[in-house]
Amino acid sequence: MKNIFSNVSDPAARAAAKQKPRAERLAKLCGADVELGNFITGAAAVGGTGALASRLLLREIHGFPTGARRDGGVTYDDQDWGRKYLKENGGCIYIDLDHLELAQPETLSAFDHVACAQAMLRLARRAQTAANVQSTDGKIIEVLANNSDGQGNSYGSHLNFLITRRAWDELFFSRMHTLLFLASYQASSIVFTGQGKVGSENRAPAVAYQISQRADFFETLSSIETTQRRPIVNSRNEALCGGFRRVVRRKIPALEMARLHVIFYDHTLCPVASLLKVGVMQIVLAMIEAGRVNPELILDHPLAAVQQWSHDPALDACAELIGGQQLTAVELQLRFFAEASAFVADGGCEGFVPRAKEILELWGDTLQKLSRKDFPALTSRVDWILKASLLDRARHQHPDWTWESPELKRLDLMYGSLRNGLYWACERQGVIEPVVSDERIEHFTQQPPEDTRAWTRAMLLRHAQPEEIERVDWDEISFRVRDRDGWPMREQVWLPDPLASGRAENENLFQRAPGLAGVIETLNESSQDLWPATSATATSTAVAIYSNGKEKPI
Amino acid sequence: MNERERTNDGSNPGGADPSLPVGGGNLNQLRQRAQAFYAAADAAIDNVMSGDSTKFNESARQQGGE
Repeated sequence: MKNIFSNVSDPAARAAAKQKPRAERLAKLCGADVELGNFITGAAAVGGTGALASRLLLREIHGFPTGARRDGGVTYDDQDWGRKYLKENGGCIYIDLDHLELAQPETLSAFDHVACAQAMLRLARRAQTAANVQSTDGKIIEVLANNSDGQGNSYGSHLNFLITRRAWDELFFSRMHTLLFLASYQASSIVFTGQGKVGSENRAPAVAYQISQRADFFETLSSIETTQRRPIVNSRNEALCGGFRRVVRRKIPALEMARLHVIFYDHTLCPVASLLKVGVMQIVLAMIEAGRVNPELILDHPLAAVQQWSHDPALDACAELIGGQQLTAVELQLRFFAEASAFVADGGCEGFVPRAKEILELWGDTLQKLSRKDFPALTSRVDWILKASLLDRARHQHPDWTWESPELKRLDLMYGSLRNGLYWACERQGVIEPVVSDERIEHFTQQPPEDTRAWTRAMLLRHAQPEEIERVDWDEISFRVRDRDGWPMREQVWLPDPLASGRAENENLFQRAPGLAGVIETLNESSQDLWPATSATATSTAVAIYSNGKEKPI
Repeated sequence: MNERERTNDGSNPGGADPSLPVGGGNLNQLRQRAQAFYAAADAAIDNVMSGDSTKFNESARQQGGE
């Protein structure tokens, strides 16, 4: 087959492109919003008990604002409500379609991302314990870190990455082979990001055990959807940073930032898998942003490939590249690894992906073990292999159990139970390979990452009285405070640049300024100097509240 | 898409025995690792398997999310 991108794959053209680095790039800041499975054992309700379980869990979460609608949080819409931002680490917890959802604070390092993800699960587990203690009838709230109930319902564990607006536009509008490059990377990466699942769903062909929880649910290559006809590459254009913001009689200049919302991946629990899921995406996105896209790695049909590969835990299935070559998922990953290795060796990740060489080394080693089918060496690293080994052990102990037995499906579900899941039992026995310390995980249950705006968000929440916090969002906090004359004022602090409001930038400000009003004033003063030259930190506006309760912009 | 299945050599992770010295390494270490794994697996499996599994699975029904 003729390579339709032959001009791009021409060595001279690629060398020329390499000599002309594209205009701008951004550090690959990352976040996550993760839905949990939640239900009540021993209780029955039409449509399940998720609604009640999630509400009982959210009741045990203490965050801000406290005085808003429906269980005390900001409401985005009927599906996504009750947001409670945490003064401890700057993340938030809320309810999305009857799932407790954990949105972890922004981090720059993939290692910190892994620690924060585990920290958020600890917070959810503590809420679960507190809720279950109040149960008087023996019913227990169960919380699962997974993505499917085995009955055709899937829920997401989404990743988020900071990319340039230019890279966003190229992905979805002008250089769409970059989207296919990304989709091909993602499709083949399930060999280390899958959690594993018994059976198939969503009218997919029957299978005993498959690699990915999510593979059966992808029906299109790219779209904004998340609840139906799910895409491999999600195009939801909701930056939560940068962008134009109309602030009373003034526009904040656009920051050239966008957020890539990645709905593709499974909920990984093994730290190595979690690190590779996030860290390698950081590297791949840095490559895309730098124009280092080799179209020879593009799959002919990424959608078909992801299901084919997921349904083949023996790792033998091949998919076709647009050039006609047939590769297994691991073989394609090795090709991506070679490209990424050259990129990192050229310094392409310096300043953009922290500890890229360590991520690369772990990725390469894991791929080598996968290519040798050294599954025993990977039970400590890769969830779908660990789960398969556990299920195999169960079948060995219970020869009458088949892949269709409800007992195996139950074990599949209970792999990620926060209460007594199989994964955590393995972790307690020292079977799991760590990448961050337990102390670091516990740290992030109480403290925000220091190198992103999550730090300033958490500090602002700590400085305010609960009743002063009116509204919180990722790039904005509104307060109701009083001016020097005692008049009530609404003050807004904007955090449009997630990279610019860390501890190093703002710690002095919090130490120097007296009280919340002083902090806000100083933040606003500093932002006056920064806009629009560097667009680096925050700005604010104030609204006078007349005695009759009406508001007037000032 | 034209996809094909390579000859399955019998490898599958579900059938992988962690006690086998695949990929080299110290045999004693591998045995210790396998024993730790089996201990963890047996305890965990026993811990979650009381009661009716069919009923449990039904109660786990979720609303689709995202």
